[in-house]
Amino acid sequence: MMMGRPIVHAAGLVALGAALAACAATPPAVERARSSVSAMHQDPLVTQHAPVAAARADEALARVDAAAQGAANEAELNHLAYLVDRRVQIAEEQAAASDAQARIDTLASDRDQILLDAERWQAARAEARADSALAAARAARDRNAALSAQLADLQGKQTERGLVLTLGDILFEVDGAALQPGGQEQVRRIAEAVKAGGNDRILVEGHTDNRGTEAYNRDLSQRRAAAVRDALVQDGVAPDLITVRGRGEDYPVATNDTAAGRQQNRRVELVIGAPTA
Amino acid sequence: MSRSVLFLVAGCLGLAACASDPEPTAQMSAAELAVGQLADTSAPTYALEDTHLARRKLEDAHRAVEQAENVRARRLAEQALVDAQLAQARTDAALAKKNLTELQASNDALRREAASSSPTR
Repeated sequence: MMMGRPIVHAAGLVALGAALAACAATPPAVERARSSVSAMHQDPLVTQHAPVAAARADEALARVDAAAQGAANEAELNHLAYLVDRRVQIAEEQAAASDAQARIDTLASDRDQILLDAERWQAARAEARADSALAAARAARDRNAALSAQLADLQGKQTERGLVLTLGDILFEVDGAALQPGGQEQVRRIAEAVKAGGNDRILVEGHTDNRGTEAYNRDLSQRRAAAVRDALVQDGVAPDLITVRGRGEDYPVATNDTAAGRQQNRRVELVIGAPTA
Repeated sequence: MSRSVLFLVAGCLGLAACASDPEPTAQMSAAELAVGQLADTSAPTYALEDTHLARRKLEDAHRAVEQAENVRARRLAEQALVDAQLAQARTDAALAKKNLTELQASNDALRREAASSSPTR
């Protein structure tokens, strides 16, 4: 729009020249101060963490600008620009320190959380251990209860002869005298009871069914009774308290006509508190 | 004649300049305080260069005051102040970063420890 008017055009050139001259006249120190402050304001950390220090840098720059407007010499401008430069650096360092501190605060709460979790895990583990200990204790108690029940079963028969405990056929090896592990366990329980109960005399009687020869049956019943005696002695019962008898097939407690009856007849009885041998 | 008048005027201006620049008492004591505080910090460890700079400028400022060079004394005192404050800020930042790194390492170690003793899921 001004192109068609040479005089105005020339005036424009003059104004431009003056502006350029003004620019050229701005001391480099002042330029540097301005750009470093404006760069500082671009830094979000400074804005967030060091607003006071940033304001001090602004004040330092205002002194530079005021000095540049006045007739300050170059030495003073350089000095004031130095102050600006240092104020900007102070703001940046303070921002870095505050930023690190903010991260430290976050890490400290992370740390609390880690420790809290670890404690919870430890508590959970302790609880699991306590649970398994409790389970083991319960199992032991149940086992004892089962053994007591077995013993109670054996103790079931109070007779005129004394307390009669019966070890069934299945507690011995088939057609032999050796005690099975279950039988050994029952004998052990009985031995404990006898020792705890005042060392009554024990009559151990072996019995069989009527299958096979009488001599064989008598011998088998004798060997089974002896096996029980040996087990009692091994379990700490004094040998002279024990008397052994092989009764053979003479004292059945059930019919020999059925398999179940015969099995009941194959047995060893312990008569505890028997008056005489 | 005109030359001597010129000298006289210049001389008066010079005297006036001297008279209008009082001793920079406030700047001196501010610099003194800031530089003095550095002694109680880790600044000599983490910002040795700036600490030295601030101390040297403060000493120079004292000498300038003794020689009645008040303008030079003010500039030196003002610079000693910002140098000392920068030394302090650098020290604070270095210490915070050091703590940050240590805490990070410590947390990592704790996490590993916790993970190794945590129940398998």
